[in-house]
Amino acid sequence: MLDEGSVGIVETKHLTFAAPPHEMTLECGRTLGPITLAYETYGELNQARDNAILVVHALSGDAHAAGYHHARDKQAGWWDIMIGPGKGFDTRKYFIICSNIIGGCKGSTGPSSIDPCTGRPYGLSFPMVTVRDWVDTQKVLIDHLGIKRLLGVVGGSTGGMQVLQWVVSYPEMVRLAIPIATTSKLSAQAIAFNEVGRQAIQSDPNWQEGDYYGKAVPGHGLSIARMIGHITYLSDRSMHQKFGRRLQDKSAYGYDFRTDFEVESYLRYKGNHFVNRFDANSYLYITKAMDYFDLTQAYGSLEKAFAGCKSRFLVVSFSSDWLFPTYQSKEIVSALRRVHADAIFTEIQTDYGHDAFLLESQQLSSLITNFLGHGWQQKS
Amino acid sequence: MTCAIQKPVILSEAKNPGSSFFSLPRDQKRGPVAGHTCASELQRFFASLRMTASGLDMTANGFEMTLGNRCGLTEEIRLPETGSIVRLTPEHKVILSLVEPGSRVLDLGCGEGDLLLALKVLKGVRAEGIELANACIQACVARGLFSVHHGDLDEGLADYPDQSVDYVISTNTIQVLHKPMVLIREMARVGKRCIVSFPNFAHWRVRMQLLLRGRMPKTLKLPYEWYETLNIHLTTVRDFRDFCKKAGLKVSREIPLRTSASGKYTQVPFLSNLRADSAVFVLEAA
Repeated sequence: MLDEGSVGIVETKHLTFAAPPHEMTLECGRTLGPITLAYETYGELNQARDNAILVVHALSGDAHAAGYHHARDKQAGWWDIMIGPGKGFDTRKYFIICSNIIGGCKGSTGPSSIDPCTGRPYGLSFPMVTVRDWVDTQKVLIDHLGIKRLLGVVGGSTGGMQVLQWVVSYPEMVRLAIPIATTSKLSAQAIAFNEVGRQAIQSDPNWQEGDYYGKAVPGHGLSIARMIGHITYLSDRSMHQKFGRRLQDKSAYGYDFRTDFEVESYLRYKGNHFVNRFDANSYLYITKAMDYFDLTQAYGSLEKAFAGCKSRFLVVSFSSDWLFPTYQSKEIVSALRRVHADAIFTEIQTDYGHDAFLLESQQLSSLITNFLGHGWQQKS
Repeated sequence: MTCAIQKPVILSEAKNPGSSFFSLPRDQKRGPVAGHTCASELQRFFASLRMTASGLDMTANGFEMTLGNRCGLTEEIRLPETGSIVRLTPEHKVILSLVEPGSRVLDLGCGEGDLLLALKVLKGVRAEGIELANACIQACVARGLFSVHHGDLDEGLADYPDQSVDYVISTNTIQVLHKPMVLIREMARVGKRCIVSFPNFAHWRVRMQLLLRGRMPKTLKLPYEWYETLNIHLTTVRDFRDFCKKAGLKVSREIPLRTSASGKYTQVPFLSNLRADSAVFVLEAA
């Protein structure tokens, strides 16, 4: 199972901070503490402490970006194709850090965590978190690891939003920024899909205003939310290639409302699988944080947001991504050009839609390898 | 006639302006240099006709059909310090001699970044590029260029404020665009100076192929079959002057070039529209 390109067996670590009375004030004005961040690291931090790269995950990701948790673990980390010895993020050269976002459910503090004040899970009493809050908590982790300046921050989709927020919030700390398949603000269409997902969860009778911990979970709603999400991550063409109109385990239509088509079966499987690994309230919180993210609104204009940034950018979009379409990456790049920031922008031709960033891509990994390699050598 | 890559030239003396590899070819007011007489041009012309007739496939000789390398005849040159190798066309070399050190340059249709890299290393410019071909951008990143954008020049240069760069350069690109007039005006808006190079469609070889053989011309600078070429707006030195005038631009320098099959290039001192196979124009707002 473990190949040469794998980081091998890894473990998730935890950092807890902001214990009362030193709670962190969030963007919404409320406070949160204590805060625990789950994180993993791969590779070695060098003597100069200048080879650290922070990998930030998307909606359903977690701190487990690469490697395996135990010898019989069949599921590698979510970006194992990119992180490891000899891969795009070469762990022989770089020290990779990945942490779970707050509001999530993969070891970092979120709505399913125990509220120390009540001794019960937060549920909807968990404060609203934003992309900026995610970045602020990651900054605490980076400080804790003794890193003054990150070589890079990289992420796709919602991860890309965090990359942008990093260079805006902490311009001095990021040398190389790699926002992939992302946007400086969600389109109305993307917010609409998020809202349909949230409505699916909230209309599940088991949801109980978010107070379902220890009881039956709103699995039906969450699985529908995930099914909708999955459609938006693929493209018309990739769905056609993957499923076409093929039937699932039958040779003729059933003329009933059970599964006929492969694509139905696939979505149901993905939806059900998601219920086992994700918390419905976290889905609500994270999608809301995505909706709120808007650098233009927060800073007056994108140029103003990027005005002080000192990073070099590699901005990548995918041609068939209709959830975070290329024009949104171009908006970012336009603003970067206007503030004279160094930026590489490329649109990779692919049929895989938004999810392309998670898939094996020679183009993406060689872009990243070269960008990091030169960026590390050429001091900026 | 091949486009075989020559031995890399080490540019150790590049900082010495006296012996600079990239000095402009001297004005040959004293007449054509030996070996480039009209007679030899005629000989070469007939030779080229024979080769074309014998089915010369220029694409196989290194003329790649990419946006980044529309015009063959590049020379490999090893840059000092980094040791990176760039492939420069005669037009690139002329442009290198024109650009002031330390300036800010935007290269439109920058290809694999050869000119940008050479400008960056040899002239210390702040180099930015726009390129349509993804593979070219990949190559630019692999060479350590940090400011290259995937973009379509036919969409203009809206992201660039007025007069925000010292030079906007376009080498062998203007003739592939759908709206050259729109772009040249954009170039003049964004750049304090514009440098444009293009293949000259009035070169005698081109004229003769059309006149004598009645066929679409194929030359060193225009190596493609009519059905494969990306060159949709070919122009001549004379037409380009009119074009600049119409765009409200002043031609501050005009450098007509002719290039031999071996890649040697010289400036054409007279009858440039007939004798130059390409030209480099430096333009400023009138």
